[in-house]
Amino acid sequence: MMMTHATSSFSDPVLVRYLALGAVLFAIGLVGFMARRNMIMIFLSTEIMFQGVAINLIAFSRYYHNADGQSFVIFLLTVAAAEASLALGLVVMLFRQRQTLNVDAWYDMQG
Amino acid sequence: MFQLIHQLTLDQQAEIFAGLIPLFPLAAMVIIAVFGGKVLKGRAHVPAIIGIACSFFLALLLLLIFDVGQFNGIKAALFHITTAQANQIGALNPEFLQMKFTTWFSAGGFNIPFGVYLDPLSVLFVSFVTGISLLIFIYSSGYMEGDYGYFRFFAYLSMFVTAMTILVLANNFLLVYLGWEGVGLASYLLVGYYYPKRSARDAATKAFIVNRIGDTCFAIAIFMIYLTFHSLNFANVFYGPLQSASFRAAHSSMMFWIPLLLMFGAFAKSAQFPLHVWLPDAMEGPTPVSALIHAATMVTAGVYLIARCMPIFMHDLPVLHLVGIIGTFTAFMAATIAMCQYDLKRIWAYSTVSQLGYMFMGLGVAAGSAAVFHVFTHAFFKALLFLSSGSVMHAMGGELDIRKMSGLRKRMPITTICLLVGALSLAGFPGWAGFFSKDEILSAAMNSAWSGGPWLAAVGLLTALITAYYTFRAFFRVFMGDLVLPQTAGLHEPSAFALPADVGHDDHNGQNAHDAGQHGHDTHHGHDQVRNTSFDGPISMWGPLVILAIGATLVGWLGVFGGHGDQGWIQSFLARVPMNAGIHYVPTPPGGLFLPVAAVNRLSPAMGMTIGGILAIVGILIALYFHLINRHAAEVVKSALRPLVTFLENKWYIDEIYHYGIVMPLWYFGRALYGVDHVVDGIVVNFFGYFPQLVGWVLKPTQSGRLRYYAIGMVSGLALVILGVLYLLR
Repeated sequence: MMMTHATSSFSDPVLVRYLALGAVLFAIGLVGFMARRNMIMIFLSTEIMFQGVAINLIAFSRYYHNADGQSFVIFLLTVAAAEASLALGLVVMLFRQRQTLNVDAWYDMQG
Repeated sequence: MFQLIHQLTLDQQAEIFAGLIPLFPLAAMVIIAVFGGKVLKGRAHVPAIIGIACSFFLALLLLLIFDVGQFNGIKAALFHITTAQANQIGALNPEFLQMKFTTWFSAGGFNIPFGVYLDPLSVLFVSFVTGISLLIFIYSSGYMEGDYGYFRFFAYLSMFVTAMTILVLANNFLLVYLGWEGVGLASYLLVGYYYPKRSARDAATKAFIVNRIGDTCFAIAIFMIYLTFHSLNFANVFYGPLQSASFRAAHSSMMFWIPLLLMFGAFAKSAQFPLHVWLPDAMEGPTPVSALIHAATMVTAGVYLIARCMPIFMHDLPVLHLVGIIGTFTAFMAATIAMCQYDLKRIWAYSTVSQLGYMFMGLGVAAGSAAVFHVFTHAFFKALLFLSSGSVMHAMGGELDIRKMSGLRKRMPITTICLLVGALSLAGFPGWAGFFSKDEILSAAMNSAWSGGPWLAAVGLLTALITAYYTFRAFFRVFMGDLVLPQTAGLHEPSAFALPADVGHDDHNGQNAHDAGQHGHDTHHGHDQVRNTSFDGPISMWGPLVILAIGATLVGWLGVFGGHGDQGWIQSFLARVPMNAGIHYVPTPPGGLFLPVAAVNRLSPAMGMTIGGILAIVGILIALYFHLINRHAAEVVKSALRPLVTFLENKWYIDEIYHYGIVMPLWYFGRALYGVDHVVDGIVVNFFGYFPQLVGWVLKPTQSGRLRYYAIGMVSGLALVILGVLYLLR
């Protein structure tokens, strides 16, 4: 799928901007995943990570004039949605245990 | 079945009888071991005595078969053969009969059979072994009566007899080793019979360990024999390439080491210096054990071994002479120690060591028949002395210190006479058995072709004087003089098994009389018939004593009369065993005594016997003075010679030398090794135990339970992996 160029794709200025956007989104999501206390916010951060990846895929798809990336993004969005519903179901169950969305409430898995 | 037996030739009958001899005690042992605890209990002696009686009967048949013509009439009648045929086995050919029954094991070219080797030596040994054993078994049934573990005693005794008969009847060295180890094991078990006593356990261990030293030497000798002769059968070893001088020259170092190692093996089993230290301690065992194992039979296994291996020893005379020298030294040393012992059984124990020294002296001057004759007579009188002492101990409630008793002849007449007979025999009083056998050894030493012979004889004569002295010192102290009974006289000895003293019977002191019906149901050490007049014991005890006394009186004459020419029956019987001067003995004895060929007559045999007799009488008279007529003089002399007496009382300090020289260093070495082991265990092994714990402790903080840190961990791990991949793919 990747076309072998003499020059790296990352040198193209237009592409770089889109990749940078995707990277920034991924980074925001990553930091949010690690730093947040609220479980829903953690999953929100994972969704952001997903979107960052999606933008990267779309950018490469447009750059190589290849529809594969975009079709993969459709799959990605579907999976993301399914995974979000699953995750939210888990969060609801966890909330019912401790009556809080604070992820630090489950420290009894230590040791 | 008798028809079947009669159809075999005399040779085959002899071999079959010999093969059956060890089987009867073995069957007895199995029966007693299996049924003794619940079924037989107080009757456990019955299978044992039946077994040994059958073996003894067969041994007598063998003796008859191998006889050299004195009993041809009986032989011919019993075996339905002609007189000429009866004499045939008694002729000089063949020297031995051999038969293999089955193979013990076979691996490649190495083949060890279960077989018998019959020649006059083994036949004589097996007959007196089974005979004396029979008498001692009967004695034991009275002595050990009511003892806890009664059946265990007879099981061990039967095992001992099995092993001893295997030892003397074996036809190859490995089978001899089997018997050798078996008797050592039986000795350990029987000396440690009263296992609750610390001293008994220690004595048993000491006996076994010292014997082990000899066993190791014997085992190495067996290996060397196999390497040299490529066979362990007696026939192949003694009558094969050994005869050729070139073979011996080619294997000269083996021919030196084999007899030397056999000698050490024999010395450990027969308690010669420096491996004699176990025998006096072995007196911790019951008296019948001391009589049987440590006087009459097991300790003679060493003598048997060297006599059997004489063809090897004859080709290495320095070692043979060493045997004689060490034997003589031991005889002297043990006699001096016996002079200052106060425990009756210890006196006889050292006496046994001393007399065994005489036997090795006889072997050392290549007078094997004299040595074996002494083995034979010694078995009788030493067993007699031990069993009589057992009766004394029994009557005195376990007391054996001769300083605490006196004048017992009034209370124990039968035992007194029996012990007197044994003492006369041991001292070598003219006419009794010891006189003839001991003087034969001394004459052989005096007239030996070896220049060291007369020196050995001189020491032997001095030892004979000492022997007579200490023997009658014991007799006069214990039996003569005024009546002095120890406190425990007439009482039961406390049971070593710590059982309550009044289980099943009523307590009594020395004044009550028992009736015979009280015997048998007590659970403590056997007790005597305490009457006001006699402490002699039941007939099962004094009966064998009387028989042994008669034997001790008469068997000496077997060495004087009854043989070919001027020889005694024993000498003619043993004539064709190759243990006299290495050649087949040719009967030309002046005065009925053996002389190796090419001897130098330094002293005529008659003179030798006279000197021996005089020395014995002198020794008895000295003992008479110091221990009967004027006992105070003994105390005076003892205090005057205090240093010497202390030296002798403490057994030449040999035990102390061994303790500080060998045992303590080994003990400290053991402690050091224990320390090393502790370090190795503590540090190295535990380190390997701590290591996983260490790893766990290091990694524990990563499991804090805080999910966000887990998330950080996941992300950082992922980052590392990606960076790594990128780096590798660059």
